[in-house]
Amino acid sequence: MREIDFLPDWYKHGRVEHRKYREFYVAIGLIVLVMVVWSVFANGRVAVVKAKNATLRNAKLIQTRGQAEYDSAQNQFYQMQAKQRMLDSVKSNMAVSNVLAEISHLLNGRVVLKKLEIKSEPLPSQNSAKNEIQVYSADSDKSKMFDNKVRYKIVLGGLAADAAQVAETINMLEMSDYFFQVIPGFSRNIPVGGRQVCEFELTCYLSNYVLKQ
Amino acid sequence: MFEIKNIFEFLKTNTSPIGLDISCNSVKMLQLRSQADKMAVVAADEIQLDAEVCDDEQSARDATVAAIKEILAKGRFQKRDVVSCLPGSKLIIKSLRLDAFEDQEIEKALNSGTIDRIGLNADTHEIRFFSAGSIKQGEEVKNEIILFAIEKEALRKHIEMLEEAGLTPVAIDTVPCALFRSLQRSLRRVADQEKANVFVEVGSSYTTMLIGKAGEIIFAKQIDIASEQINKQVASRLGIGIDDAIHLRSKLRSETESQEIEPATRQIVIDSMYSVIDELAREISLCFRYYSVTFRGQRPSHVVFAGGETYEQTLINALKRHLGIDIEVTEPLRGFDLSGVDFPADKRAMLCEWAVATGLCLKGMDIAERAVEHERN
Repeated sequence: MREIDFLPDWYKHGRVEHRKYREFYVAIGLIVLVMVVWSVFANGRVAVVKAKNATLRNAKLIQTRGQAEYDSAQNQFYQMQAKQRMLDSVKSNMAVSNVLAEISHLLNGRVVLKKLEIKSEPLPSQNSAKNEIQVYSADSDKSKMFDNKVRYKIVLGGLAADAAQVAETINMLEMSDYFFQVIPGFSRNIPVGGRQVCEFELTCYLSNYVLKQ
Repeated sequence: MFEIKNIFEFLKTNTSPIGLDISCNSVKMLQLRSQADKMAVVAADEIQLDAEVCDDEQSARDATVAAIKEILAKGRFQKRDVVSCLPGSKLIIKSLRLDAFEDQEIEKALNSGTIDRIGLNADTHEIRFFSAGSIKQGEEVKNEIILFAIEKEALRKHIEMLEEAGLTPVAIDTVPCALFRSLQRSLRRVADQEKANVFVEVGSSYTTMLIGKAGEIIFAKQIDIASEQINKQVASRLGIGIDDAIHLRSKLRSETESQEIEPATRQIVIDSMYSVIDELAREISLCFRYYSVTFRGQRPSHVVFAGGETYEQTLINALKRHLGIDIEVTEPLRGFDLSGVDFPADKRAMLCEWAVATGLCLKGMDIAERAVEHERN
């Protein structure tokens, strides 16, 4: 059967257009929905990352403060170390009273001291960086490493009853653990009060260090 | 050969758009469904309109919209797509004879002044046509054209009314085409296809007369004599209102209630009906004559009747006597599964007033199937 349809073309086209518009708006709606969902998701992620960032920033702040305190403490430590080195460098590591007591113990009544000098001088191996110097401190039984690479030269000058007494004094000093490298400076006879006495000068070093090669 | 696709054949369903048959005194809505070659009625509903609204176009329109909305509100119809038919009062049917045979030639001939000569205008009228067949006019062979037309403004108003009622028109048909489509279903035999078949639908305002052959309409005419004229004649003769005349006629149809009517009154009603029926029979006879002369065919031996007035046995008997041929009353929903709907018990056997709505639904199913085929291709 041949069919006829009175539905006009303008209406059919209008329906097609309307359907297209509807599909278009549905598509737009879906896109907007997807964007909204994505935006919500992305915002959520951004919020999480921001929170993590804030936490990390706080941790960093705390760490920075800690670092500053650490640096400050380290600076103080370095300063104190420097001071310590400075103090070590100026410290004599030598008990003068002990030296005097030893000298008094070694010298008998036939020797009168007129002069006693204690001088510090650089160690002979100071130029060699490889040398290690161990210095025995008089304050303690334990030996300590010191940066002050000096040794103490003791100059004794006085009068002895005779030259033999000078020699004995040299011997006594050599025998003592306190001193070594006893070198006579000079020795001469001079009259004092109508009597001939022997004037002498001795040099020795305080034996409070060991030089290790 | 067994095919796998046959396994799923039973799952295929095709629900038609709503078939909307709007007449002066009623609104009928029908929806069909086909499943695995079985047809079923999904929903069917009818609302009678007041007789007073027929005379005023705006009132009739408002009442129709309200009736459609009321039916839709019941929720029985599945979709809002609709195939409706143009109102008979607005539809113009003309038969033309042209020398042109091809559709393009016919259109060219129509636009070159032919439609102006029959009082139509291509700018103001929506025009459709199809060829009824070749005829001999003297020594010449002419092409008989059946032309359908409606004013564009009336068509626009009809579409607006459907949209206002909440429906989406997918096609707009004519009563003759819908009727032919519906009634042709019962003519599947080869013998039926070879001979001329006459269909008459007595509607509320118009009687539609169709002659078809080989599955095509070769003659269509709307006769403005129908139940409305019968009711008016009865009301006029008895001096009563139209509604009273309708009520009186319905009582006359019932064997028990007809006994309550006085014999004199009954006789007046029957006489009144006869005067209109005579006129209708004469018009139908003229159509037979036109067919016989134009198509050189034999006078049809029987007529298939449809429409609400077919329940009026008085009318059927009178027409049978006047026309001198057999009259068969159609059953447009015969073979359909009606278990899903609740038709009135007294009309359930025939349901001949649903012929137009059935034809509209079938057109909608064809459109849907074509759309599916188009998408597949």
